[in-house]
Amino acid sequence: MQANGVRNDALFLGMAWTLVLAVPHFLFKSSSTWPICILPLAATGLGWAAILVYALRRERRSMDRERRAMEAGLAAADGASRGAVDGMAEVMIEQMQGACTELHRVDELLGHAIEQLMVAFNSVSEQARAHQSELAQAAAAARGTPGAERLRAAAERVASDVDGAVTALQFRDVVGQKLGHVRSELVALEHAMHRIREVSAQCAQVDLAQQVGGLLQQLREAKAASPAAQELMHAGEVELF
Amino acid sequence: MAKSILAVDDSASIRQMVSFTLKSAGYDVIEAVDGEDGLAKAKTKAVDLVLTDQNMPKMDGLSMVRALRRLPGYRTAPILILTTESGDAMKNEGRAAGATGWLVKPFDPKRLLEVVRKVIG
Repeated sequence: MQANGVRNDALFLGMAWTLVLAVPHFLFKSSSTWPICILPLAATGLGWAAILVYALRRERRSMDRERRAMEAGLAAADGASRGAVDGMAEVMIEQMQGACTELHRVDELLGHAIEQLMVAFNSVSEQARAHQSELAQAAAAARGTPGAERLRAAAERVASDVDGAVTALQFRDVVGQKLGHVRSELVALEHAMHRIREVSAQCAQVDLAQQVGGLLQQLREAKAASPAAQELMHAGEVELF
Repeated sequence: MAKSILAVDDSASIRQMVSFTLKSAGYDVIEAVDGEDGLAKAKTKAVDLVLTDQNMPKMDGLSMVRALRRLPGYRTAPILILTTESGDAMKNEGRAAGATGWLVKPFDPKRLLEVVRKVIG
């Protein structure tokens, strides 16, 4: 709008100047003084040139003002977005640290639970083995009688129940590895957030986007599968080489 | 004389379960808490079988297997890996390191005893 105003000003001044100088030309062109009247035409040309230079300079100054205003606006927006990135990273870091602390507490609770379970298991399994042994001896002594088969089956059930408990009680190791893996991933994310905060304080807007994109790509590539892939506590496979 | 087994695992509950299972079947069990401890104990007393976890601090299972295979008394001794890892890449690495077999946790006591009896009687 401002540029259009400048052009309109230039046109008006140019036309006015032309009229002022063209009048004596047409009035005196048929007289002996006509060559002298060429001068107004030359002056008209010079005038148009001066008007054009004036118009171009005003347009350039106007564009410079618009550019400075735009840069000021971008700088303000850049500062606001950096503030938002920094604030978001800070919140995420706090959340991740909280999650790591909770995972550590879960791990400790599991450790405490398994200690108590193991004490109980040791006591019960000794009694169960003794019971199983008595049942097996009684079955051997009662061989040939109807009760022998029932005693033998009872002894096998006790052994099977104890074996089931041994398999299930290994959950501490499997769960502990999964928890450790999750904690490692949270720590990696926390480091990435710290890095994003450092980068956002240093780089220009375009560089920030590239740096954050690079960090996210590194995180994706570094993500490793948990060593413990078990979903349920069924016994695992066995392979002899 | 009872056969002896070296059980190596950084998890106390796994060592307990392995010891309970093997001792119930009449084997002598020596426990170690990581690869370094396992290697030291294997050098101190010759055992008939080594049963080791893979992911352990200080020295992992496969590193211990490679170190054991360099010892004169363990060039052909049976070494079983007992681990949560079940991927083919890790198994192949175990085979290349000199392991005799690969057992995935959690183990079934009956199945474990079958494998142990198969390799050492």
